[in-house]
Amino acid sequence: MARKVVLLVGTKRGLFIGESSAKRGTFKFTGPVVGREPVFCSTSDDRKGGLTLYACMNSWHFGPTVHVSKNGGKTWKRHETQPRYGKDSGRAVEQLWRVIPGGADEPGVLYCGVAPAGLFRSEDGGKSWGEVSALNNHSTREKWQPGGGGLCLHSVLVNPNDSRHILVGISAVGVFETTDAGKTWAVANLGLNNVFHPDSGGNDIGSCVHSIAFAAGGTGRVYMQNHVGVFRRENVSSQWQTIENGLPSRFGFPVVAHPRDSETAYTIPLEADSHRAPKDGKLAVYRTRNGGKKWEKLNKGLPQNAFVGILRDGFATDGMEEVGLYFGTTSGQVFASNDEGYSWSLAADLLPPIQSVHAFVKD
Amino acid sequence: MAITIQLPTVLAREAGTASATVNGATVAAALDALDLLHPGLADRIRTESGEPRRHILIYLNDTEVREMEGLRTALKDGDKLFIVAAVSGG
Repeated sequence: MARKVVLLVGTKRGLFIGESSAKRGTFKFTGPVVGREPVFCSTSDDRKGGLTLYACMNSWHFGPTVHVSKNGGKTWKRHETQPRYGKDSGRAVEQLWRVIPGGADEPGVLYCGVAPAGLFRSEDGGKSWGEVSALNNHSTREKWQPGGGGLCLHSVLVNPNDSRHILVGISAVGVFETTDAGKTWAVANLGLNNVFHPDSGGNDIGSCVHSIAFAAGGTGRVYMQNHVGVFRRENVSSQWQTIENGLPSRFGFPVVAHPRDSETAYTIPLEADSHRAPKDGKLAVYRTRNGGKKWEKLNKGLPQNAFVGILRDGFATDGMEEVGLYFGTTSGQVFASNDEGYSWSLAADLLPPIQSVHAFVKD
Repeated sequence: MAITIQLPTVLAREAGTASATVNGATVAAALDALDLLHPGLADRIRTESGEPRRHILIYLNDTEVREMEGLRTALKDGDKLFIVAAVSGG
C-alpha cells in the first residue's frame, strides 16, 4: 500500500482527520469524528503492529474521556475506566490535555496529562489507568498555581532512548523530570525566568512552560517555548539557556523539534501575552538550524494579515524524509509545508477553532 | 425497589437505551447500579469524588437533587430519576 500522511486535528467541536499521499500536495478531511465536543489532544500508536488512535475529548456535560479507534478513526469507543483521581483525594479530573504513547520498549504504556495537574499511566492501552502518585503528590504541590489555561499538565515527553526518562510541563508551574520511570520527580526549572520573579533564574516553582520538545538524536536536549521566552536545555539537570536571537517576540505556544536533526526546531511567535496573534498579522514560522543560536523566518505562502492564534499542541511534524510541518489556528485553518517549512499552503479552512494537530505516516 | 433512570440523548446513545430500571436506596446507589448495567456510564454523570458533574442536573421526579440531599437523597419504589444536560444560552 502506498504511504499516506494523516493529520489528526482536534478542534473545539470534534476531531477531523486529513489524509494525503506522500507528496502531501492536498489533504482530504473528514469529520468531525468521535463526537462534537472539544478534543484537546490526539495521537497515534503503532508499537504493537496495528494502528491505534487516541483522542482526549473534554465534554462540557459528561466529563473528560480518552477515546480509542482501532480502524483508523472510522469508529471510536471509550473504555469503561478513565484517568481519574482517587475518590478521597479531594481532586476530580476536569480535562484531559495530553495523551502519548510510552517508550518503544513498553508497548501498551500510555501517559495522560490532566487538569487539575496530574499524570496518569496506563499499561494496557488505556483500558485502565493509575496515578503517577510521586508527581501528583509532589512536595511542591501546595505552591502550584494555575495559569490562563488552568492548572493543567499539558506536556509529556518520553525520551525515545530511555523510557524511564520523562519530562512533563505544567502551566505556570514548570517542568518536572524523572529518570526512574516516575518513582521520583525533580523540579527542572533551573535557569528559567520565573513568572512571578522574572529575574530569579533559580529552580523555583512558577515558570510558565507552554510546550517542550525533545531534540532528535537522543542527546537529551530539550527545546521549550515558555510564556516569557524560548529556551534550550542540553541534558538532565542542566540549566535552561535563552535562545531568542532572530525571533520577533518571546511569546508563543508550540515548539516542535525536527525528527532527525537535533539542531533544528520550529516555533510560531505571537506578539505578546496581551495580544496572542502574530505581530501585525504577519504569520510566520521560525526555524533554527543551529540549536537556537539563530532563528530564521519562514513565511512563504502564509497570509500576512492573519490575526490568528496557534495553541500549544497545534503544531506537528510528520517524520517523512523531507519533513512535513502542520499547524492549526484558532480560526480554523490548517497550514501545511511539505518541504521542511520553506513554503506553506492552506490544507484546510473553516474548521472549528483548532486545539491540536498530530501527524503520522501510514504505510 | 425499582427506580427508573431516564438518560439524556448522548448517554442513551452510549447505553443503547433511553432508560434503565435499577435498584437503589439512594441516588448514589442507583447510579452505582446503573454502572453495573452499563459500565462507565456513571462516570459520565458524576465525578470521581462522587458529586454530579457541574453541568449535569439530576431530577428526582420533579425536584433537582441538589435541592434535597444531593446524591445521598433517599429513594422509594417507583421513583424516577431524570439525568439532564444543563442548557444555557445567550
